Amino acid sequence: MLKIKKNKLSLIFLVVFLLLVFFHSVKLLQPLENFLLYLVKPLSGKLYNYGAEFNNSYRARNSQLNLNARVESLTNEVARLTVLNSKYLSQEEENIKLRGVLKFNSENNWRTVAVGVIGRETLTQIGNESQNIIINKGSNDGLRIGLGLINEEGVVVGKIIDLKPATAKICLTTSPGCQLAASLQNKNKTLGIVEGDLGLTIKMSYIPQLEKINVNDIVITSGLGGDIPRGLVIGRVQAVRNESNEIWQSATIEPLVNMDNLSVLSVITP
Amino acid sequence: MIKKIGQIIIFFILSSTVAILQFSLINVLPNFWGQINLVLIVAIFTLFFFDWRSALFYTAISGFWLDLMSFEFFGLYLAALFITSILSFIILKNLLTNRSFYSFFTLITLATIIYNILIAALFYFSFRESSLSLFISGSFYLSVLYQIIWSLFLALALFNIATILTNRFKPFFLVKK
Repeated sequence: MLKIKKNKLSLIFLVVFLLLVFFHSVKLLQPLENFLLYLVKPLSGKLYNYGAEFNNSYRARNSQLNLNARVESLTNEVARLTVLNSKYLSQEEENIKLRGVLKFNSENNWRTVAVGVIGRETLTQIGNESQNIIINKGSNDGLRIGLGLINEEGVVVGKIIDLKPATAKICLTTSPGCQLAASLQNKNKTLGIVEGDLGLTIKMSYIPQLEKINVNDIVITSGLGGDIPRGLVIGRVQAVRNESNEIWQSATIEPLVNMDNLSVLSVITP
Repeated sequence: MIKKIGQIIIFFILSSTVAILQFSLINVLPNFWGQINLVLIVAIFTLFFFDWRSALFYTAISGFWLDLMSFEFFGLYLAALFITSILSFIILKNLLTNRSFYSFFTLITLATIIYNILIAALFYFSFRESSLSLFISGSFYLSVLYQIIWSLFLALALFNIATILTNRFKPFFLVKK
């Protein structure tokens, strides 16, 4: 008797499951799904922030041992950036004057939509190689696949790869398979493709052998083949791999953003 | 009747909370911490300490939430959790004779392995890009191992909490007078 009851219950569950999948595929469940997602988005955002804070403090504790070396390297970096900054300030002044003379419109003509991160998708929780985050806005908010995302400093963190009416899935620049058209800020404005490498760094490939790449060169978006505008910072060259028997050379790019600490981002809409 | 409806609402909220915690909080945590499979552990806990019916309802609610928030194909988590629950129930009834900590831990371990294989298999049959990499990736097996280690810790904690709250699992001895 008990066995029959249990089988009956399993059968009911199976029917409900099939109905849910069917209603989802014909989009009959969409209003309910959207309502439920809108309901939980604030809670999800809060929980995500707590997780990101924990993540940060955990990493900070682990990296305390390297603090002295880090302070020293940052001090050198500050000195280098101070010199660079003074150079750029004078160039900016000159630039403003020249733009005034040419009556050139310097304003970017793209808009941004502020979004919050509500979750991270790691299928079956397999490592952290494939890093996709979920944001709290979707196609109902005017987003579409291929749009790029920047953090508060204007550094590119990823692009939209999947959409739902109320949410969107973002692949981070460090995630394998997440490709962006990029350019180096060197003399030749070298072009290439950047793609995430093991969820830790970014790899820039398809760079012609004859191009000269230097460590610490800045990598920016090239604006080619997509909705992401030109000139957004992706990272900095950390190492160059140049084999004489290969057609292309590649570079390892250090991301300028901590990908574990993303909470508020902006989607660039052209 | 009102009490029953209240219980159902509380059950629904608790089940939903577990799924949201898994998706928005646990998945964000650093490597080892982020491997806690809370949804599955609670499912097995419900099956072990309560009954099949409650476990099935919990599975349906939390699986639905995971499918709703995830961008994988709809039904992936529902199906994986449902099949894992059925197989765990069969193991519990036929292979595990008593309700000890060892039984609980064995059940959670087996359920973790079954769940991960199911998810990887369902993902593979969905013919998505990179679906093959799940089985051949070393991090898949490392992830299962981490989940089992977490299951051990959580099984220990949950079992002790349950034995404090109820007398059902405390050993008793028949003393001959």
